[in-house]
Amino acid sequence: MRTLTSIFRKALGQLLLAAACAFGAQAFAASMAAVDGGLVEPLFPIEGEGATVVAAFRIDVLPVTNAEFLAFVAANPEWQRGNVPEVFGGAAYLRGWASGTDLGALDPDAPVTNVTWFAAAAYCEARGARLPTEAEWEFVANAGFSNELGRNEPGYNERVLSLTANRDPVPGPVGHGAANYYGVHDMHGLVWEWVFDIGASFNTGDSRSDGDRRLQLVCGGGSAGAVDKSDYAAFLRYAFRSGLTGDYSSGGLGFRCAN
Amino acid sequence: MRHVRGSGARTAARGPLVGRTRRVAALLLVAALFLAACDGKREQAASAGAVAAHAEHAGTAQAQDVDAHAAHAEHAGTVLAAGELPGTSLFHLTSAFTAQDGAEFKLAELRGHPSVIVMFYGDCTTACPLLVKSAQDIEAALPSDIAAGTQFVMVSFDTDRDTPDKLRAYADEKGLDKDRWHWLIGSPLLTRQLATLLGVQYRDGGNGVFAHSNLVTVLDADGVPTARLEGLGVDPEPALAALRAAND
Repeated sequence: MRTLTSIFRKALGQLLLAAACAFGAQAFAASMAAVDGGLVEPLFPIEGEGATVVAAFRIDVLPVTNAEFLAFVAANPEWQRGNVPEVFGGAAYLRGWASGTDLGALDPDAPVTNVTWFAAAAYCEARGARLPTEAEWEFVANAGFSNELGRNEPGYNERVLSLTANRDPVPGPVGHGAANYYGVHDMHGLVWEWVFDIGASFNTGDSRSDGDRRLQLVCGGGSAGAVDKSDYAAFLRYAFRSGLTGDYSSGGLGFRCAN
Repeated sequence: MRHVRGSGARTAARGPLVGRTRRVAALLLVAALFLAACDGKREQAASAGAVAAHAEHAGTAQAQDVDAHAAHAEHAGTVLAAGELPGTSLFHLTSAFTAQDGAEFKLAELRGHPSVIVMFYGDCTTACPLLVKSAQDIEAALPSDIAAGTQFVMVSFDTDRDTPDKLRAYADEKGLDKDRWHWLIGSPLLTRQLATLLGVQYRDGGNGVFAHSNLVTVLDADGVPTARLEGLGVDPEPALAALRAAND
């Protein structure tokens, strides 16, 4: 009996050590949903462009929390507030933290916000994952609550728009919103989320027009070319992402990982 | 360093469109604010920020130069410990690329000389040859002593199809597999990181054709961007001026 207990203790000790060596037990406990993939209609297709093929992938069922990000910066001091060079995050980075390794008054279970794209990408990399591509993110976001495609559900667009528009400026704990078809939570009601390829959907192609196109898409008659005109929430998401730069951060912008 | 600014020439050429898009941008801004009103202050700032970026795009002429000069002035005015990189240096990106000779290459190896950075891809037939040529033209237009102190960095974003060998063949074909010209390929993450730092957007259409922005960036000897040429066929003078200044 004593032997068993000591073996158990030893195993537990090693397990804890392994968890500590990794950047945190919580991060590795991150639960991911398997998504078969399929087609995503670009909101603004390039002339002649069809749907984007999204291969099978896995995505976190929850946004990354303050507690998880704390474990990451504890193991990776270069990502602590104050240690990050300006190119990867300015004064707004992790605003609200009491110190580099102290969340202060922030809810550990709330999604981490005030993170730049560079920090989010580094977090996912440290976990052996990556940020979801915009197409992957949208593929999951387009799922309904009971159907593979939200647009097949009565009232879906209104529900998503209401979730998007009624977000709490100080996001509450993750996981309180209803899971969607894939078992993924909080795609709409909590925070905006970083994607791997920010802004890329607004690019025209191997062309000379550069950024002009995005302006026409969001602001001009070009928006009539958007695939589902009734999906105003999707329109907002694309517009929001198109204005982002990698060193930007705000209290309403978080992320989750995929692989 | 926002990447959504237009060149003056382009903005002027689009005169009537600008008026219209501004009006529509204003409408959208109102719509966004209306929505955000239910949404709290921070979201309001975020939503409005996205839309404001477009409005700014329509109205800004030559902002990139102002931006670059401001960055440079700020850099010059900052007292740094010897060897310490400025916060805005791209050399903080420390992962290694692979060069056309198969050797590892880190951006920090450029330190001490100004450089010209272009992102492109090997199979690109329309814009990329012009992008590479614009770097070549910059080299040709510089006084020889300044040209000799300038590094040229061509980074592929086709991490699936381009290889060091392919890039070397591409460079060789153009007579540009030579000293001071670095043809680089990196991991998907590193490539995206560099693009995000530069403000280059790209996406793989899935068929080997990339949608991408056309951008030539000048870095000073510490890796701080000091000039950007956005679009093709634009006046190279801001880049030349930045390179001359870096050699003063």
